[in-house]
Amino acid sequence: MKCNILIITIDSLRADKCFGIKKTAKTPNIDKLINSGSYFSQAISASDGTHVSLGSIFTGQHPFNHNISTFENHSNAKINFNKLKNHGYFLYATTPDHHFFKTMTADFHENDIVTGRPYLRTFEGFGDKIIDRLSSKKMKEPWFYFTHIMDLHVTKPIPHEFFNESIGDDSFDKRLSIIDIWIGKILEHIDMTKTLVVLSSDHGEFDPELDYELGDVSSLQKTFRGIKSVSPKFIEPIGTKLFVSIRERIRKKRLKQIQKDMTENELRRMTLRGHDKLFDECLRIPLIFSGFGIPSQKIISQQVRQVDIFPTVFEIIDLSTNLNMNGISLLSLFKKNSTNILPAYFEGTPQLNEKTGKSIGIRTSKFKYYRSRNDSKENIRLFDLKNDPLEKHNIAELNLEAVSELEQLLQNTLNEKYNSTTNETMEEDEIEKAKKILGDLGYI
Amino acid sequence: MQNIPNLEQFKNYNIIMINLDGLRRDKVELCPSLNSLKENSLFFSRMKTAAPYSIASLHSIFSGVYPSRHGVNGYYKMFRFKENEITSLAQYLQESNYYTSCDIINEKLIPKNGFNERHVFDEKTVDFKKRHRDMIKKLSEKEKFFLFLDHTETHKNLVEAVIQKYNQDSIDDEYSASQKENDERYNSYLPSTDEYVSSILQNLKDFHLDKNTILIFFADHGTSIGEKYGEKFYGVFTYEYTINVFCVLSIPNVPSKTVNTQCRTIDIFPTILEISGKNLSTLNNEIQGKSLFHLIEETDDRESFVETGGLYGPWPSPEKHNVFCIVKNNKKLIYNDVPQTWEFYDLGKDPNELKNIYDENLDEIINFKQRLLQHFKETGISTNLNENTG
Repeated sequence: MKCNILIITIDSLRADKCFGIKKTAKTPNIDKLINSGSYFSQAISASDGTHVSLGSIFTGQHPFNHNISTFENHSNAKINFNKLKNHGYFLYATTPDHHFFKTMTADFHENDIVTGRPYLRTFEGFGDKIIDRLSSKKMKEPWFYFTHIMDLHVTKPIPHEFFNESIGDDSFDKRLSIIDIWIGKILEHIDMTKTLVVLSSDHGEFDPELDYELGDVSSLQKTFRGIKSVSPKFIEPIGTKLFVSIRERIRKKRLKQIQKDMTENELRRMTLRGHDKLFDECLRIPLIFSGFGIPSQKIISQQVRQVDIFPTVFEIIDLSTNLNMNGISLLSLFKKNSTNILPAYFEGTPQLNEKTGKSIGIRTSKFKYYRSRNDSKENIRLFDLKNDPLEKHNIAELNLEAVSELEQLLQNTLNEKYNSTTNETMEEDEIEKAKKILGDLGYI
Repeated sequence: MQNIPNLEQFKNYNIIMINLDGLRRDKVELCPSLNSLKENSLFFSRMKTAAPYSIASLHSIFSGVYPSRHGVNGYYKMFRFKENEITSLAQYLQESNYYTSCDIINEKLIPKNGFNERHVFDEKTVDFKKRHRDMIKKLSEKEKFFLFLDHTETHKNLVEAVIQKYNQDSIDDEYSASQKENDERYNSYLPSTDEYVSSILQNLKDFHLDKNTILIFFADHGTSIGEKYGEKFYGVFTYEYTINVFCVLSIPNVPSKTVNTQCRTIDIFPTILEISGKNLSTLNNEIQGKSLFHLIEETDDRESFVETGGLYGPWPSPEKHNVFCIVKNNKKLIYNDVPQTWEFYDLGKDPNELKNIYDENLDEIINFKQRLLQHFKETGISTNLNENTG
């Protein structure tokens, strides 16, 4: 039997906000999902940006193989969906109206693209769209359904009607608690006995206080929306680029003013992703497998990566995983813990007008090491994750041996290349097979 | 001005698509049945193939992208179609509830996915008229079907008369010196091809399919009759006699029109999807072709790129394409990657491409070059040029 597959990614949800002793949000439905399934407590994102990290989830490849960035190569994210189709799956999605999601799900059997400004949150109608899809009975089995929830990413304040103690203490908690209500509603429509549920996020986030006002950009948004409505479609990515650029300038200016009076901890929380600060707040993500064939009440502490998610899903549905993926199936970890090291490759998300992020690195359960992408001797950072979990002290200069070992580990990972866009090299037996056919056709 | 037909009405029609393998564009008018059909159909008279040989060309037609994008960018690359990345035409149609079938010369001719039935014929013994009549008869019982037929009579004759007669490894000019003889021999194949076209039209009537079937005749590439020294059939160069092809799109009750605006074989893919009711806006990031229906109202030539790598010829390259060109507004820039040479032709004044007027300082040529290099980048084509320039 092929199970249905439900993949939910929650934008910007960091691990410690979802599970563990530091968690303060009220999330009974997510808790229930963890309890009835397995939770990876050390899951690491491939990047601190959405496009790169989701690219790694859906391709099972490291960023240097899938080459997906903020504005480029989005169609590379589709690489595995045809495999699912060929395996008999029907593909559906409900996603925000964003060119990455639109491209990625273009070949799905049906995709609900939900338009909103900037993105609709669950309680603003996005959740209803998901429920409409799941309750419509129009999804043919076995289905693969993907949705991406943007509530934590949207900086608009949440309405006061949600401000009561039952949904969490601070702004982040309130947002997460609202999402949790919708997770509960979604799961009401899922038959867990024949559905594999995967809940994760693209990356974490530094600032739990999302209600900081970093600049009112509503007039800027209005101007760009006006331009967008009368412009050809192909200009949209250029317009988005320009808008983001101007918005970031406004926010930077405002941020400087706010930061003047902040403590060290507050300043850390105000760190912006995408600026070469690859701390665990933005890289550690929740990862829940639950439902079909997944053991319950299992907490797995071994470090795993986003690139391992699809190989695991593929093995569960008996689809060959020997398909140009860097990740490995985690299925064996559901049965017993392993001591195998799974070094997590990560890289900074590209800034505007850049194709690749500045830094690349490796995280093990003990250390995090990253440095300049183009120069292994530049901007080296090494953190002792056991003794310095907040990554306050760069110990690279004092631990040259560890730096050397981790650099070697990084090099080994970088050598795991898949030549997916160029396929020039040919083996002799392939040429001989081709010659045989050309001979049959009379050409040779 | 003729309007684009309302395509909604055709989404439950059958589609029969027939490749007249290697039929030269300039011979269409010499085939009475085909010519008559074209006069009563939408006829795209200036279509450029994506590659002037069947395997690469047909993979482009079935994927809507250029060869270097779909992976079959060399005669030897026939196993490299990126089936896990690219949804083929047959797959889309199957998803839209067409019963899909094909009859082809070899399994590797087109992408394999998406067919309910796949048939392979033996070219040496096949009776195309009978075989295809039987297939159409059987499919006429289906609610809605898509059928792709490969008619290789010309190919078969060429193999016997040219490919196996002349030493392909030799680049002597014996074949090139016999153009008149080559042309007459080629013309002698036409009646058989035209009879086949006539038989297909009769089949549609006999099985009551003529009112609800869209019929497409096209050529995947042309054929040399010795115009250029070094090319005895096709696939070696990107000159007009092999890259300029045609497409007859016969839709019941749609007024006829000859469209002389330049288009591409990669445009056939979105055209058929549009007929099937597929929303093309969801495909924009995937395919490189555009629906042909818009050309009924447009007059601007579509920029066309062609790539190939010969099995023979002066610089054979069956592992990877090494000859490229861009054509627009009757101007053509060719880049030959192995000798790294450039050619530029004004096809309006010099349709036989006899006078290479390449001048790297001319603005027009600089613009063509920039577009070609941009295409290399967008399509993932690596050349010696890329490596030299970084």
